[in-house]
Amino acid sequence: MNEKVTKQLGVYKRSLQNRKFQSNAYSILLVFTILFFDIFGLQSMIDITVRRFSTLKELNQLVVDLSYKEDSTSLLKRKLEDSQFYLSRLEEVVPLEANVEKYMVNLVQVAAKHGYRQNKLVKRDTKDNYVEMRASFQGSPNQMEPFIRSIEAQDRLLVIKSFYYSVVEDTVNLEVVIRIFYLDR
Amino acid sequence: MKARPKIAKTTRNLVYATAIVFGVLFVINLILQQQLNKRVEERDELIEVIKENAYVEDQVRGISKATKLYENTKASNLDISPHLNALTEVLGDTVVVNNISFDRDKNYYNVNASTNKATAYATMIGRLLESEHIESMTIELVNFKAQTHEYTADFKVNVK
Repeated sequence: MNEKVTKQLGVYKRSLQNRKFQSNAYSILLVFTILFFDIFGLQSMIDITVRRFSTLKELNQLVVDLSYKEDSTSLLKRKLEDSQFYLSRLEEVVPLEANVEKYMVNLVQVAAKHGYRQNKLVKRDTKDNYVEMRASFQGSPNQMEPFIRSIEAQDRLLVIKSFYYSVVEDTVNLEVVIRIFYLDR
Repeated sequence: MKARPKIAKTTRNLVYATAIVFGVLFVINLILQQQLNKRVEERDELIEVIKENAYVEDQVRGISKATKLYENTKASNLDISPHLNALTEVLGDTVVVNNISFDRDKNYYNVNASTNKATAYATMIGRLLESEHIESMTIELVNFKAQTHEYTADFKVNVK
């Protein structure tokens, strides 16, 4: 009986020794795990936090810049809406296309207003943003200067490059070279 | 009672400290993430509005280009009607004009005019030189036709 109890106690003793060893081993493992987490886990979390913070800072700045841009464009939009009348006038004066045909009609109308009849019109395209037109007219001598003035006063950006005015036996000839400008895209 | 082993105490403190640091970082991250989402939403909304108004900038650029072209062209090519008006006014009162030519590159007028009175030229020259638009003038040639008793002259009139 005693022998049996002694044997059983020996088993318990060995088991307790094993558990103590296991307990120590687990404690050491736990300490290493925490240290490992401290070094790598927390470090990476700190990195992520710092990155997020700097991203937020940049994003804040971006939002401020975009707000400024949005305010500016909204203000411009309002101003453009208010000045629509002047914009359409500006587009007539400096059009996006040469619109030579429209200008030719206007020129004939202006000429007729001053008693001039158009004889000939030669159009020359240039590499620059203007079209050169050589137009010949016949008409009244005392209307030459008002006619030139009316050409220059047209709602169109143009320059009179040269003109030649002559009177031969009561016939007035006027040749004008006009450069009409447009907005080159 | 036996004191706790030092390793257990250190482990416990380490666990507490790590948990606190982790907790603080977690909360900070949550707040930052919330803020980031909010800012991203704001950014997207602003971009949408700016995209809608993109045509405004193009239009403004076009206006600026057009006004610059107008100003530059008009500044370097002044209208000729003011000095033409001054010239024709004087010529019409004093002589008979046969022809007038003007070229912007040369910036002077060539005038051919006739009259029966030689003194008409003197009056014409005097009045032209009084004009604020005329810089100078040169008589290039004068012909006298005895049959018609007519003086025909070529002038060069420089404008300001």
